[in-house]
Amino acid sequence: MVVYIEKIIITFVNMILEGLPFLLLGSIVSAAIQLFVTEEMIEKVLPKNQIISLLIASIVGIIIPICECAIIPVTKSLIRKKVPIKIAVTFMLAVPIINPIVIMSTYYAFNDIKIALIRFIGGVILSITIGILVDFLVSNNKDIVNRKTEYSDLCECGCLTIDYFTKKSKLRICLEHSIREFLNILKYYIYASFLSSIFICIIDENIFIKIGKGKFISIIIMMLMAFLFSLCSEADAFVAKGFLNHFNIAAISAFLILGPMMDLKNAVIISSYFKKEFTIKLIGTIIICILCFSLLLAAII
Amino acid sequence: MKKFNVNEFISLLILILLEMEVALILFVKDNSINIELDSRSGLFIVFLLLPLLIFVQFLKVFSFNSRKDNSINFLPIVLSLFIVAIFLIVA
Repeated sequence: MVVYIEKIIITFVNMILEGLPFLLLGSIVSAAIQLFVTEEMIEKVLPKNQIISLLIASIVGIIIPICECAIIPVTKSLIRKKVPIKIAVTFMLAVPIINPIVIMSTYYAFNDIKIALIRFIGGVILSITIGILVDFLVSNNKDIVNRKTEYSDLCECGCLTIDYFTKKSKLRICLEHSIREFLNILKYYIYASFLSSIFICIIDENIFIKIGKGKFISIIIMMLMAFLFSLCSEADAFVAKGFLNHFNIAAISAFLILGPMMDLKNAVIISSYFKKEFTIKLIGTIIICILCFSLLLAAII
Repeated sequence: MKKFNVNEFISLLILILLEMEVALILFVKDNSINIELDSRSGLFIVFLLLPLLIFVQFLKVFSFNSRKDNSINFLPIVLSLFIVAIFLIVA
């Protein structure tokens, strides 16, 4: 028992220390982008041709390194500003996966360019596909924003308190945002690291490997874990690395792609920002598309 | 009116504790802890950046109080940092 607890603590501490630099850098960059890049600027970048817009929306994350929690309010604002749903959804789903910190941390965690590439390409293809499908599914009712939360989308970073209106330098506001973002991400990262370290240490490896052998089941299990663990996309690769010995690459990629697109934390935020019907359709489409992609990947690799 | 903000103070303490733990790993418990870090340079970045954030957070300790009490949100972070601290001291 003591050995197990010691193992859990070591795994837990290790995960936190490995993820810490990325969480901190991600928070600072995220705060800087949130402060200096406006939604209007993003909107200007998108061309009128919808195919090109979809492609740009799917890869714009390369220069917008913000995580999934931060992108949801931006998406809601874009939709309210009449940005097409497919482009906004593609943007929302792609940015947390395509951003350089996520790709860098994926490569850094696995030390394998193949997994980073699968995540990047899979993220682009799936975000576009899901964006188009969701747009089609809600075509009869484009009013998807939940009006009840019109004034409840205040971020918890403190920028909307009176402090924001005092004469502070932008750098200071940016650093204050960074601290809030960092502590917020750290909280979720701690939950997930703790759960996954228990999971990694307690579960019998033989059962683990046995489950991992079935392609379909392993993908389902990894998707379920990605959903329930609600890991930050900037640090989930380090957790996924712990499962590499037990699950195949297709299941790992399902974990890496689903996590940033839709997890428990995102589902709660999205359901409060958007109407229930849209949320259910979005979650369903994401799960089906990622499952199909992973099965296809499992067949190829 | 500006007054002592408990939430901001807890955030400050968390950042200070984190900085101390990173310093402990990097400079004191370098070889004695049973942790396999892939890269120490990442922790050096954290060690260099945190003082800046601590300074900014220190300025926020006396500020307008938020309408929401977020102190419960810090509980998992504080607990985890204590676990890490105990682990580092015992190791």
